[in-house]
Amino acid sequence: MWVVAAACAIGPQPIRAQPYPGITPVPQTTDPARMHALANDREVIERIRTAVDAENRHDYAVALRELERAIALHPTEPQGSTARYDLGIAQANTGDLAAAADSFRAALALDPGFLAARANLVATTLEQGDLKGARVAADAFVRAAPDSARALYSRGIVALRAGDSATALADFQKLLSSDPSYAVAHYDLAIAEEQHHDYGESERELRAALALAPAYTRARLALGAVLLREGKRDEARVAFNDALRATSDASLRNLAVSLRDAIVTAPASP
Amino acid sequence: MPRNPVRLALLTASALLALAGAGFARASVLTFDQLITGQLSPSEAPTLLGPVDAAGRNDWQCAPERAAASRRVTAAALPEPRDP
Repeated sequence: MWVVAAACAIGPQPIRAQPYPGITPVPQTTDPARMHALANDREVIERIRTAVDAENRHDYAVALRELERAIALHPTEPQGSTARYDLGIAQANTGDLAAAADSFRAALALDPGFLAARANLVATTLEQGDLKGARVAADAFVRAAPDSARALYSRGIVALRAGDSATALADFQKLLSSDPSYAVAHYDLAIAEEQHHDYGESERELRAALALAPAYTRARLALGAVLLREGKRDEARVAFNDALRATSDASLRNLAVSLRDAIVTAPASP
Repeated sequence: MPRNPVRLALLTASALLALAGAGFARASVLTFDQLITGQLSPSEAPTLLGPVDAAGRNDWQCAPERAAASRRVTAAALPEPRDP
């Protein structure tokens, strides 16, 4: 009686089954070759899973070891491209940028539609300082995803660094046409306009960036610089004073003071 | 042969000083221009997208693939407006 009452008080308990990972198939075969292939697939999946957990806690040594073993097992798709993509992340985070770029390229060779691999290839080649390689990767990314915000931003940055202001202008304008509230794109569009010697448009974009992000000191300093290019010394002085007020960062404050004070002695910009 | 070697030496020294002064002036102009140009550098590149799990890039269920494909800036994991 007491036992039944106690059991009712506790209530029904959930039935606990042994947890199998959802994506690992349960072998339903006795064929040795098939059994071996399934065991191989399971090992690949478990190693990728362990590596991703390691990457999420920034333990890249474990991730590298697991992914290299997974790739040595010749995984089929999608695990083949996934393992190479994740390996690229671990290599980039351990400073081996050349190997990381190769891993992202290997992932793309297996799965050309892998947009995250395209994005990371651009970022890695830029980090390497390989502007030519970054441009090739960025062009391919934009071709694969012409409306992707990251593709447009990435190629815009690559183009700006290489001095290709025409491409940068087109990419940042397209990015802003779908999302005009992104202050960073206004800033970079302003840099492209300045490279194009269109200082009026550059000033307008910098003022748009500052309207969206008033604490964006970098844009205030750039605005002062563009105003100097336009020969507007008094307005430039105001921009540098605003930058001084907007930041507590000592190096940016020193820079703003240096630029403001240099206006007094410097000759007018051509 | 100059008639007054002291006068010649003074003239030479003055010319050298004038050249040095012009050189310093030119250097200060370049420094100011470089200061301006330094404020007109592009933003930083986007950071790497995160790892993909063993299921592979299954489109919108995969966060890095979604960030790479999205038209929206807020979903694309792009840099925030911040100072270098």
